[in-house]
Amino acid sequence: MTIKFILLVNKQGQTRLAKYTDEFLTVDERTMLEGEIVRKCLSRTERQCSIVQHRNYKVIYRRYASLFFLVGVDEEENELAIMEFIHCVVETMDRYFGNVCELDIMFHIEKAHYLLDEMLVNGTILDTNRSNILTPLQMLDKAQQSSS
Amino acid sequence: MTTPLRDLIRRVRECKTAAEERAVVAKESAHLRDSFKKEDVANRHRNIAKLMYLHMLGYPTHFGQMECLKLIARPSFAEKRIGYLGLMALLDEKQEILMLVTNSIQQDLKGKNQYTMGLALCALGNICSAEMARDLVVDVKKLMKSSMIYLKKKSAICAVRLVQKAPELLLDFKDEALALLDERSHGVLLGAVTLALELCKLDPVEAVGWFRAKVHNLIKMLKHLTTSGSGSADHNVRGVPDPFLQVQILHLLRLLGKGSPEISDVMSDVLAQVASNTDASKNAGCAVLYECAKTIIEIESTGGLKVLAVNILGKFLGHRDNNMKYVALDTLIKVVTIDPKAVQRHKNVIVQCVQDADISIRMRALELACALVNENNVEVFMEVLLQFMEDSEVAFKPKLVEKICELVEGFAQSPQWHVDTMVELLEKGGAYMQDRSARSFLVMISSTESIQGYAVRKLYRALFDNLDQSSTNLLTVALWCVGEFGGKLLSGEGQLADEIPLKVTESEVISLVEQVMKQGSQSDEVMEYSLTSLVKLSERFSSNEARIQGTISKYKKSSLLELQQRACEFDRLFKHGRIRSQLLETMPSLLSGDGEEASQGDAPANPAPAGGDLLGDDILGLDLGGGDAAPSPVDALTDLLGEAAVSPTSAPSGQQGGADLMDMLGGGGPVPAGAGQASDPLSDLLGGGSGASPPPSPTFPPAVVYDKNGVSIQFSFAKESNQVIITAAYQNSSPAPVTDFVLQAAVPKYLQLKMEPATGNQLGPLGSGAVQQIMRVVNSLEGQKAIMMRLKITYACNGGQVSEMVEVKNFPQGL
Repeated sequence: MTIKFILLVNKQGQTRLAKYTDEFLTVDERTMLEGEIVRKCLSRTERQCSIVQHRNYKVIYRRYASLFFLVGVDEEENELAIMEFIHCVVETMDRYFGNVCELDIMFHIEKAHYLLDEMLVNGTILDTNRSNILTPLQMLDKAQQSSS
Repeated sequence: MTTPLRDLIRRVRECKTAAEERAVVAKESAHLRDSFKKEDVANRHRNIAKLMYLHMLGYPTHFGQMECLKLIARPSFAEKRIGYLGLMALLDEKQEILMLVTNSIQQDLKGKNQYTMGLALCALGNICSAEMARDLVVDVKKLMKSSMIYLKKKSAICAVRLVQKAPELLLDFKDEALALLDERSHGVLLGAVTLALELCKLDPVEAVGWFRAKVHNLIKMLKHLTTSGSGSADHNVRGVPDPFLQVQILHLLRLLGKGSPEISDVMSDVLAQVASNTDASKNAGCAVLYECAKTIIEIESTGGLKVLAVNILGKFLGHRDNNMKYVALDTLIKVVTIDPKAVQRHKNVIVQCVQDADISIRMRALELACALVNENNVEVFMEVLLQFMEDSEVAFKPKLVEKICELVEGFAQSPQWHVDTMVELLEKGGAYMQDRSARSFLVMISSTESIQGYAVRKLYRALFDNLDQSSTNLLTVALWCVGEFGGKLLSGEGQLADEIPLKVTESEVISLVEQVMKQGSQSDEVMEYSLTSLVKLSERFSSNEARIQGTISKYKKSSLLELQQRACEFDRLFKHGRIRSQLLETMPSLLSGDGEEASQGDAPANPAPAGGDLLGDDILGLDLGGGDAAPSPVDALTDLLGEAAVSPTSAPSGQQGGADLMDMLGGGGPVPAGAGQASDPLSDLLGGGSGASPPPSPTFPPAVVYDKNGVSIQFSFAKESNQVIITAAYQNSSPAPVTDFVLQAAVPKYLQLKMEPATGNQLGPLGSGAVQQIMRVVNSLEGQKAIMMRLKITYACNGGQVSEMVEVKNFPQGL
């Protein structure tokens, strides 16, 4: 019932955003897990299904241009709902950054995290409504603009 | 001087090697540490963002944790925001830092600004520990009752984490969790249902009861979502009303309906409605349908509804989108054990999925298809699978072969079909077959005498046809059979009605085996099998003995140790005509020993080949130089020693009081006794030559040693080498039951006594419920002094305690 991690990876397999929930993995464990999963998912063809079993995770991934979104979940999760959730994250980012690209996420890593924090807490979905998610972010942006 | 994050990213990206990157990161980390030490307040925000970046790249960042705490304590929202973010991301397993942050979070939870409060809830929801949960439960509960939607939804999700970490808080959240289910906002409802799910999982009895009372609310909610089609339009996903909320509600209904036919009945209408009204053309709709099907399958629903659910999944199987196929197969694999009939209806589309382009789909479809196989359809299925075997990719073959073997073993309708299928499989995919499967095929042939002739001829043909490209498994199976059943190969014994007769001569068969050996690339295993096959054939084709001996002697100079040893031993064997025919007899059925070893206990009684494994390793263990040696004496000895070593441990239990007596008598005795006992059968075996059985032991008449108050004790005797085994039978012929019956025995020093525990200590009335106890006596002065014993018998009968002493001297002569 929980999302264990969300990874954003580019075509070269470099991690651009990583969010782990619940589990405290050490830095080495994390790097290794990411490596394994990224290799596994990126080597799959378009025709193959986007659900991969890896260790005790089910990894569901979606590709958007040069970016891969990978979500690791436990056994019970509804895989199709996660597919939809990934799309929802992308649409929300799109709305916020305006045609989101890899660099937006890299250079505004903290904002990407703020956005995810409004959608996901402790591995469970908090909200999927775009305006609900973006309101706190936009308020923060306004406050920072006016102060600077 | 700190640089912007953008600058750091640029520098890292410019690195061409990993070493360069490490250098850049090390330099930056040093800068950051420096900056933290200098309390550079203005740049804290930027520094944490950099740390986040380094963390993501997989570099250590623990030194930034304290800095996050400082930011959280700052008044400005922007600083708090990045502080909390850093805290959530950079926290490692060292959780002492959490103690420090509890206070700041509590302050923020009590704050005025809803976004600050939401921030604290979010952080708490992500990193809360059991202690924090207990400290902050009151604050979170307060926010669950807040008037602001933003705080309600966040606190509900935060509560999930709290109960996960401290399950004893379950009851604390009962009222709030139930109240939140009456909300209207989708965001809050999603949180409320998620919390309800968590509570139900933690306490599947009580909490499920609370929410069952709310089942009508949930049904209404779901109905509203499906019928109105509007709900709150903001949450629609391409025309499907809030799929995430629908999925969560359906999941909760599943937990509530499981195990309760009444509740399941109540929700069956709405489930049918969701199943029929949801748009299956969109992924979002499919997610809802999928969850709905899972719920219907798991709750106590009616057959009709279950069929509807299986049909939904069946439709997924025909979907263009592979993900649908994947989840449907995954779920159907679970369903097939409960309701195979409903799944059976989608057999055709499942078989189509076995041929899908995507290997993950194929694997699952194969598993499901195999679960659908039964006695009636196995032959049809097998044709499809064998056909598919040829054009599937290499990575998939081992799995496929394994499944086919399982099916053949489980559902073979006739031995002939079994042999036909396995030989075809060996030809097409023998290389992918596990040794285990090949062995069990051999076991099947060896234990089914009527098929041996057919099998060996079939395998001979397969070997002949596939000589140049056949797999180790095909070769070894065929070679073993040709060796074992060479006679049947030529004689045409066990000819089946539709079998084409095989015309071969002895020398053709031998030539084929020789041809196998001549191919330079054969594995050692194949060479060993071939050699053993040849030596077996030398017995069956006596006119070609000299030729075979010639071939075998060639390998006496083989560079492979095993092969060389075998060849030498087999060569010697030709000089021992008498034992050779016995050694090379057809192996008895391998069924009992699973192809590994025949039962060890039989070893002394059977000639060597019976005890050996398929390769006849025991033959190699023979000391042929020593003349007519007994077969594998070592095995028999260890076997007996093993037994002797075990017996002292089964000394009488304390309850029987026998142990004390043993001690009195010097219970250390069993060890020399064991050794003596083992050496005897060994000398027997060595003296008696192969297959000699020990002389029949004389029989002794039983003796009644005690008979009073209706309680009698009868001793029966048996002698095993120097050991006398006494079976004491206790019986009670009086009408009153006897309880606490204990027999203790004492013997003079020249005897060693071991008592096993009695089978009971209650003697039923009128001869019912007799009890037995076994004693073993070793007489160290056998022939000089007779066995004698003193017995102490105690028991309770008719409410009184009886205690008696009896001396037993009338043991039969010759013990």
